[in-house]
Amino acid sequence: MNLLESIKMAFSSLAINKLRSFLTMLGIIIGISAVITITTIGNSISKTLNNTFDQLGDVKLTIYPDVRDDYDGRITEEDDTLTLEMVQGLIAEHPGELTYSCNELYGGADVVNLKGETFKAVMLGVSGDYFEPPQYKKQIVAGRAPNNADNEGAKHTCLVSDFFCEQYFGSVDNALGKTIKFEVINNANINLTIVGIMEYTELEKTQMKINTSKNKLDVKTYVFFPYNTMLEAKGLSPRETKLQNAQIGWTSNCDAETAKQYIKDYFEPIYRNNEVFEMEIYDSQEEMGMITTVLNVITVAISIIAAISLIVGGVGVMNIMLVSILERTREIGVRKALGALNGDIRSQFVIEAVIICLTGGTIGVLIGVLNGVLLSKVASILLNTMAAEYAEYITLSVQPSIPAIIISLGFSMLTGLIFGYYPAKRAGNMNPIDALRYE
Amino acid sequence: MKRRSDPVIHMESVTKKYYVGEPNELQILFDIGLDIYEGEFVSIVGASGSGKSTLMNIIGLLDRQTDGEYELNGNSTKVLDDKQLSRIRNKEIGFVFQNFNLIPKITALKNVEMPMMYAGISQKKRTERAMELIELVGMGDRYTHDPARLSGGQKQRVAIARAMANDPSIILADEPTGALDTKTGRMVMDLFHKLHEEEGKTIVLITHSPELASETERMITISDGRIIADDYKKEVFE
Repeated sequence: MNLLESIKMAFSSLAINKLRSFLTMLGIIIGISAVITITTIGNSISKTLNNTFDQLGDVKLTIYPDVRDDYDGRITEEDDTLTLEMVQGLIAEHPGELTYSCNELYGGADVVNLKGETFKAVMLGVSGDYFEPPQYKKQIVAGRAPNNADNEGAKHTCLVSDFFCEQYFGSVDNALGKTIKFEVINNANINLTIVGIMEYTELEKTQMKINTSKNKLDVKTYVFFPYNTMLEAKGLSPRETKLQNAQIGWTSNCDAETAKQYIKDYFEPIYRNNEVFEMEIYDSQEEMGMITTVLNVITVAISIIAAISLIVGGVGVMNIMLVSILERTREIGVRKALGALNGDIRSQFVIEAVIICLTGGTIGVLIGVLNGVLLSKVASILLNTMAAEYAEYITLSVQPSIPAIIISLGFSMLTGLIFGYYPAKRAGNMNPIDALRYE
Repeated sequence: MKRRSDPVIHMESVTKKYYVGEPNELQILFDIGLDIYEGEFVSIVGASGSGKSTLMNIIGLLDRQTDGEYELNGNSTKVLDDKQLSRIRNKEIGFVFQNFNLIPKITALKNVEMPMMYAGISQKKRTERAMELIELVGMGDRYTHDPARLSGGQKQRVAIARAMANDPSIILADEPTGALDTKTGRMVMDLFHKLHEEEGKTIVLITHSPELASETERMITISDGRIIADDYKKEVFE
């Protein structure tokens, strides 16, 4: 007798008593669906967060002077002392390991395109390895980004978006090498030559939509140009520059934790005697990690509850199997008289138990995934109504946890095996003559 | 006479005791000696409690004798383990029970297929053979019915088809007409005669009814656990 036949036989004998089979499965269904619901929600949350963090593209460490927790005096600008020179000094101590970048807003500019329409450009002076991989995630589709040489020479080069080119020239094709005049609000006007074009992600494109007056295009776009060029335009020297923050990245020779240690070691003596400020490091990945940890704890707790409900369900399965074997004693006797081996009878009942559990598990998985999807839908509706301004940053991703599904099905099968074995063994070992005589 | 050199069933000094060694020890069979040859239609007749069912269970390898020798097709059954006994029951013995003992909720066809399933015969061959047998017992139009939708006589005919499934050496029928009315009982008996005459089956019929027993060619009478008569019908000798 082969396995497929036993499985078919098990299904047909379960089909005979549908209500009982279903009630037996219920414990398993509840346990598994709880786990899958929670893991689907957890997985969706972390996937959504990951997506969001990815799109924001912020993988570098941000360092910034922050007011000390124990200081409650007046705060003056002078005590805030992060300069470009300091940052460059940090990088010089660990060449080949750390990279830095800083950016500062030069101002919003009105750009008049060839058709005479106006749109907004947000002018950012950027320095260092702002555009260096691996941390920089924007795709440069043509030309290059302003590099260190541009920065040191205070060259009038810039990187614009594909979006910018479409607004200005109508297409990306002929934009490289063109010089554009930016009329900067509250700062000196500046002429910059396009040396590179980058691509916006879908999320960024939606961020670029703004509402302006009728005769203007309702978009804004970022324009990146060398930091020193910006300083020159402002009439400042690098030494005088105070930075609000700087981004520290790391190369493949280093990692985030080591980079943090370098930063602490470097700034500790500098800020030791500063009563007001200390150097803070912000790591977006760390926050992500915290959320993931919380989710994992919840998942473990739910899994324990599920394990208990699987055990309870398993005991129910065992109970029903014992009853069913008693009811079918005559049938077992007949089967044995017709030549069934002990093993045939045993595997018949083990397979029935496994199929009850596995069917219950599968129904549980389906309900769980459905619950997860529905709850995520509710979450997305809430997001859209309650926090419209945040909604566009969040791309909802519903993702059932595949390992959780596989493990759940595995465990429900195991439950069937464990709790089905004893009754099945009893059935298999029945004496044919006693079984046949059983009334 | 149909005697051949080797009997299908050979029993020598077979005894059966229950509660061996205990104060309530009970002996059911005493010193049974018996030879049944291929192609015979034998009836074992006796009052209830005479030990005929116990004898049938031993012949059918559902139960073991306490003492004595039982050879089936020339092979001693003493040394066989459970697994080997199951295999022999499956291939060499076809059971027909008083209360039919069909598996409920599955079709007549599936019931007939069951011994072949345990013999490991492929689904296709099984269905073919089962259909043949169902036609043979005259149930061709009802093979999709499950036992609950069959009358007693029909059930017994399906059970006979099932007993024939693996073409066994002997068919053991324990009071096959006991639960049937006279008319359907007659049909079932006719079917046994047909199997005996047309298929040449060895049939052992256990009954308490001397009338039915007298239809067979050999009648073994058992009383209080002993064989007291073993008569061949006249026309068989002629």
